[in-house]
Amino acid sequence: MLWVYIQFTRLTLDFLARTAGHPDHEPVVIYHPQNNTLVQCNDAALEAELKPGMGLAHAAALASNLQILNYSEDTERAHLQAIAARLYQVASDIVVFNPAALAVRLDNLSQYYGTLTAAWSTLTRELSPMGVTFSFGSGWSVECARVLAMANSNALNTDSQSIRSCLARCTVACLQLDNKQAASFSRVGIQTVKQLLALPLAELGQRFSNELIRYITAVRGETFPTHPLFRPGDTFQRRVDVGYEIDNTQHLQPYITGLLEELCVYLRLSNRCTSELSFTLYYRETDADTIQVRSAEPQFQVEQWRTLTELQLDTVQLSAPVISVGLEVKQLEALNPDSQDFFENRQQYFAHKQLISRLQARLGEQSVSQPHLANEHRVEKLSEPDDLPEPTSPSRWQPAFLLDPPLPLTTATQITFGPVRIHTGWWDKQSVKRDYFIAKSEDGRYLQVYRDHHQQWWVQGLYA
Amino acid sequence: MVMTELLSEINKHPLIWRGRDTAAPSAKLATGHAILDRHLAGGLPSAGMVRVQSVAGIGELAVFKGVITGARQHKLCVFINPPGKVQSPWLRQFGLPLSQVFTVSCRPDEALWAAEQALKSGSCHCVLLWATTLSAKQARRLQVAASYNHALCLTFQADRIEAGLPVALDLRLVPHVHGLSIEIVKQQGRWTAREITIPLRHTPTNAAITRAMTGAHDKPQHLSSVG
Repeated sequence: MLWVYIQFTRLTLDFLARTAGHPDHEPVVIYHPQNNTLVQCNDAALEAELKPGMGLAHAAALASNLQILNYSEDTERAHLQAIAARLYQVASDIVVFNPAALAVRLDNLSQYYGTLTAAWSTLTRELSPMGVTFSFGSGWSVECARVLAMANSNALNTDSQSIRSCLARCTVACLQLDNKQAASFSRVGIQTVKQLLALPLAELGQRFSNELIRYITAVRGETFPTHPLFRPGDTFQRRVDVGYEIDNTQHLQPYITGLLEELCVYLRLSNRCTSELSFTLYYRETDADTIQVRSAEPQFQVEQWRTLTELQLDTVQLSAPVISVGLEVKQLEALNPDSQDFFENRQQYFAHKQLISRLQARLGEQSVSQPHLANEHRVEKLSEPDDLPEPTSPSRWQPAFLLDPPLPLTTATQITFGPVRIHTGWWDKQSVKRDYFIAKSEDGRYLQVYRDHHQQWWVQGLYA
Repeated sequence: MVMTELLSEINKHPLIWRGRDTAAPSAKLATGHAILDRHLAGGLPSAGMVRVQSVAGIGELAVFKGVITGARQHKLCVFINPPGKVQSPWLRQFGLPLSQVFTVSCRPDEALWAAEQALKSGSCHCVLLWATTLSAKQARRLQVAASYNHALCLTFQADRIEAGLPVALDLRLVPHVHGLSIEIVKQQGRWTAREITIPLRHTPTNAAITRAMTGAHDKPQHLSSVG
């Protein structure tokens, strides 16, 4: 067996940053009121030398513009459930450790994805759009993987030799022990996991309780305690906190689309459909409102639900700014077997994931890519991934293919469009000042050409 | 007697087609160009391999816009070894959702493998492959993979063109003053055709400005040519 244990280090902050929709520049921390400590800090807070474990007074002294949010275990649990539901699309055996960790079994997935590495990269690809930070470790049992994750191993060890050597480097602090057990280890002078692994089982049995023995044999991979596996619930229930107070139904649309997308994946995986959705709008002060959206016949597609919801929302007057949106589906119906389309899509959904993993496994991750639409004017950066929201009206004169690097223009051409002057990029020292044209060459090819500030001509793109 | 038996044997062979037979109707994807669709009995085959002999940059994708964006929209389009990096604004304008597009860049021998995998996965509507060389055997493999999995494989080749590949359709594109001139080199179950001219405008032009200028000055303004 091979398990990977994923420990999410700042779940609340990551979900907050995602719903706010932009990388935050102000320091934000999550504060645990009962323990009077910070539990999570964002990048800006870390730069201000704040650390998890600090007291509130200490933190406030270091950063004046600090934003403090209270820690809530329920919120973390809900986020974790959402992540597990998402991973359940690509993985079968998932164990949820509240409030902020998951274990996923990899060895049985390798049959579907080809190799263990491909299976793991499928998981990380599923995690990356959620923007969550995590540390992970892999081992022959959940317990072993957990120790490595706590030690920040962040490496996918697949053979027992490398797991053993990684494990040997860990200290006892990485083990899941209560204070009494930790004290009993330090009394007998055991500080590293290596020492612990070297001890024969009989000797451990004389000294420690049965519970601890069970745990240690599990870490050593000699026994495999069973854990309850994650199963998606019978009803669908999600809630997203919107980043700011929304008083216009139009601004709710992206959050609602996100919820609907999650719902439709859930429906597709459980072979169900539904004819009634109930959205709940939560306000800061007043009681929440519920909006019912009904459809004449059971639906399972995002587009159909989105249009219906949009129509319904247009008629709604918000009585106060909305701070979070919930979606609940109580009645799920069995699918009518007439709609063949459902099954075609379902199969295609998994085939798509498998194809990408297979191509990446053989050709390397860099060889297979998906285009992004960047908020940019520099031609060579138009398809590069960036953190900015997509431009609403992308430029309409771009070629199909970009030549990287540009080639000098050597043939005679006739200009058919232009000029378009691009003069931008002063902020990151890659400034460009170019006049772009579309030129037709003598052999009938349409080229994107530009003249740089040295009056030299270059070909940068091909119009196909 | 023996001779007629032999002939009837030959007649049964799936690759033998006689001019007076009418082709069995198969699913087609309309290109949207009436004259081309008429010669192709409705359009490009909806499953199978189509070779396009064309240099890059003459509108070789724009002419198939209806085929690439018009059907099976929930499935993927995979670009394998395109002649440059695929630009997102163009994809958006062309009508392909970015989430449905993957690009693969790799060595030529791996490209054929990738194309076959993509076709076999059953998740692709269309695989666009830019191949340097293509043997009859390789073309056959792709043709089989595509037709069994109901996908279209558009293979673009600029040079080193091997004649008579076992593909569903073989086209040659040549630039023309008004757009493109298309030659049907080979198609399964129908006659070939030459010089089908299709008007095509796939890049923006300065025509509007020129018109405005002529209106203003009453004389044509010539745009400078560069060389």
